[in-house]
Amino acid sequence: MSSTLQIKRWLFTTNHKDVGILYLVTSLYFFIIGGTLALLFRIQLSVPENDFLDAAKFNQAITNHGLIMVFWFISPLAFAFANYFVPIQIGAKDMAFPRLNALSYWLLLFGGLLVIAGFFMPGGAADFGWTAYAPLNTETYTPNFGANLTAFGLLMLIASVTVGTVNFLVTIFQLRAKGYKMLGLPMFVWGIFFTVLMMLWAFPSLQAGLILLAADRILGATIFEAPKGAILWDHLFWFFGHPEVYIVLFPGLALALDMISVFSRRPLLGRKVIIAAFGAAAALSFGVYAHHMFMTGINLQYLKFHMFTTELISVPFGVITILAILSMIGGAIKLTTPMLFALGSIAVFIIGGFSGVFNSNPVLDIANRGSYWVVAHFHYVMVGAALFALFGGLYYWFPKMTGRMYNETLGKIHFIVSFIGFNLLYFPMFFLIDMPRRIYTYPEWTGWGPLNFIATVGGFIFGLSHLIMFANLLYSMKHGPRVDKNPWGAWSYEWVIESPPPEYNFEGIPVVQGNRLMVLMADGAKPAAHAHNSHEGEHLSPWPLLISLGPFLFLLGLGMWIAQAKFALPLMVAGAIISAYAVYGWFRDDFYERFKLEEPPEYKERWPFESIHRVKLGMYFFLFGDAVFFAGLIGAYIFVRLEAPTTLPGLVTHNILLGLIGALLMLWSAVFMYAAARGAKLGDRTLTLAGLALSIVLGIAYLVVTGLDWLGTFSAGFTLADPAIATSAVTALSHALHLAAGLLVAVYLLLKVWVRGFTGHVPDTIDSLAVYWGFLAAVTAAIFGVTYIF
Amino acid sequence: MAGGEERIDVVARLRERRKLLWAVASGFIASGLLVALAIGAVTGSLTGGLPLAIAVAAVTLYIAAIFMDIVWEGWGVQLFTVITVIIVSLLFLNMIFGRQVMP
Ligand code: HEM
Ligand SMILES: [Cu+2]
Repeated sequence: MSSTLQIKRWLFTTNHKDVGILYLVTSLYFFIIGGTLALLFRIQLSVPENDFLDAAKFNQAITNHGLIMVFWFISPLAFAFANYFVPIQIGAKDMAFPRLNALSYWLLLFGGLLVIAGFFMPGGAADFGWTAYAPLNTETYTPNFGANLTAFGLLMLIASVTVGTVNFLVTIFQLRAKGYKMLGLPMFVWGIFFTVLMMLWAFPSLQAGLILLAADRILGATIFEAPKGAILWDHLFWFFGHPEVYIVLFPGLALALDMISVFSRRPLLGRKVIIAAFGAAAALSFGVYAHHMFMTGINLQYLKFHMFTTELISVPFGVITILAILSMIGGAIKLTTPMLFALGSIAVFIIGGFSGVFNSNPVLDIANRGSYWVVAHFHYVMVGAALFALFGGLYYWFPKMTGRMYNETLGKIHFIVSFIGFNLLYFPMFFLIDMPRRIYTYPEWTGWGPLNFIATVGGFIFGLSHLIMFANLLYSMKHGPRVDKNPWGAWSYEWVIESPPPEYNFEGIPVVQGNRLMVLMADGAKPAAHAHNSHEGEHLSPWPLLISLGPFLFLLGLGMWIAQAKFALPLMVAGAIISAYAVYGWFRDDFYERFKLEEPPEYKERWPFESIHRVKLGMYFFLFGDAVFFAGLIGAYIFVRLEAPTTLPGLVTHNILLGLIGALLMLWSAVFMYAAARGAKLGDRTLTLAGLALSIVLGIAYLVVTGLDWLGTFSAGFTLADPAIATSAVTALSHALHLAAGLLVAVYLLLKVWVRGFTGHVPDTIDSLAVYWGFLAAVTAAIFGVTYIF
Repeated sequence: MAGGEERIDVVARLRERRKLLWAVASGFIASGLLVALAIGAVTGSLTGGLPLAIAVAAVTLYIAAIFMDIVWEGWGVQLFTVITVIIVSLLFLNMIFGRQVMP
């Protein structure tokens, strides 16, 4: 391939394996950045009264270290494998929505770049810790302009996660090879499945928090600076934050289980129990988060409940580890590099889990919290358990991705050195139980010096040990010995195809029968190139890249504009133009149905969503997450109203008649959209066109009426400085933006049906849009019922 | 075979018609509920506390169930809807009860 073609391939690719590799390279790149930051502050802490970094730089370093490692390294590394291997493991040729898959990647990359750009802003990057506790995160306490970019970057990340989540759920539910039952899927797929489920319902809460924070920082609201604002942030953050720690853990843990089973040549003991345990932990993860709030002085009964659930949640993890160990007993264990990493991961997880159980007791926790004990705890679980397992995965799948073997000796050396380094780094922190987190230096007499020094040495050993891996893998990519399809004797289906896998994984139709995957040929002949793939049309698309680049430039410009930096406006304009052009391009491709990638549903296992179109299913999943977003916003309003009795009810601040008219307009807009969808299903063009047109008109009318009502509120002298006004305004605005985006699609569909009729999957798209409209109508009712009446 | 396919087609068409009728009827029902909510608010009989919460939740869920097509979908979608409702309630309950008692 010529080099321009190569560049085009990597920039415009929508193939899940290419996207997986982009994720892999990007996550490792962020790993290096996050790791460098860590080494910098470890140097600062290595001896007492050090002045290598001042307090400001130190805080920026730890904050961005945490953010980058959690959001741009560990999870993206897991999703690199998920992108590459989940479709193959379930017997699919690609993800359900390949273009959206590429979009997830670009949003992730540009979001991360925004965060890093924060370092170059006046005042420096964000420095409020990865949890961004209020009111530290507000402009008063963090005037650093970089913090705005951090908030923007996180919002882009959330967009990426949302798109990716929907994509994986539809893929796992609807693209399994015929005959492949859910329970038979590899643990890794199950791990990703539960991970995306948690992502679906957890991330929107953070999104709500960040949008409110942006209102504070940019529009002059004071939601989090208000007296109880800190607790409001805690809720929105930790409702997301606790599931997030499992989101980090699950893919790695599940992968470790697969590797343990492969390298001890034994099936996992109690597979179904393990799956159930993952499910139970995922479910419980939404009901334990107040253990991060033991010190906020909130209701004791409430805390006791969370303490109980937190202790309960150790049970499924106990079950998983015990079954993993029992599975190995009597097996023919082969201590390859991936197996060593898997075992290391489990070992470290046991220590981390134990220390977590201690934290769940409020009395002990109040003593430990904010100390290095907690730092040790969560690094044992996040770094130890998750990272070791995922690096194991890198070795495990390397031969599949490249067709070549890495050097086993170097791999083992990497494991031993990094394992020693890791424990030197974090184990001393369990003894630093009286040293507070997030201090940039400490006096000599505390006696914390020696342990800190050991930790720093460990940190360097751990950090540098990965150079062995990079060298090993980079060299072996070109020069390693060639391997055949299945060097490990593993059973999951990525190992039945070539290494590296062909463009569409299976040169025919994959079908599972009695635990075996077969590839059927349509006419029994060996397929020529892609003749038997159901894929037609263009597979490269520039739009995912451009749709992410546009907002990136715009948000970067906006951040610079707030900081009154030069060149801000041109950046914003360029960003806006690129965004608009990219959206237009995406629509245009759709209009001519240039992008077609669909496997025939009749060859797919789709339980329990047999009869639902993938676009509609994706829409449902998206909205199930979005519901939590609006719940976070409306919940914030309720919280503010309950906490601050001086705020006025909506009945006083709003015109209830206008509110009612608005709600009715939105409702009937949804009725007509629903009618349009029925028309599309019936093949009745007139009904569809009329429904779409009326729906659009009423939707616009709703926006006008709501705008009028808000004008009234503001001209009556209410301002965003009132947190009840601010939270409800942000809610209304978010809803309006949802509707505006929907209107754009509705106008497009109106045009398409008018000009081209019901081609492609237009009927199903209209059907999905009606679901979206129904959701918006329901949210309107909730907004009306809460913010106008309560 | 062809006859069978035609029958399926007729059944599907009838179903779409029925869905449409239900949606229009529900449009009127939901409008009534919204108006009732507004009247309750203006007369002061519904301005806070549990009754308001239940009333709002009921109207919202009714609109969602009908216009998001959930009542007509298979149990898979319905199950996910129920889980979502539980999670949303969890968030609300946490934010209502997880508040500071001491100043
Ligand atoms: C056996 C299960 C676990 C229990 C019982 C547990 C318990 C706890 C508790 C009570 C805290 C609060 C400490 C405090 O801030 O005062 C905590 C903190 C933390 N845990 Fe765990 N944990 C468990 C597993 C995990 C896992 C698997 C991860 C990640 C993969 C994790 C990551 C974290 C993080 C990141 C924090 C610190 C948050 C911060 O303040 O920055 N935990 N854990
Ligand atoms: Cu937690």
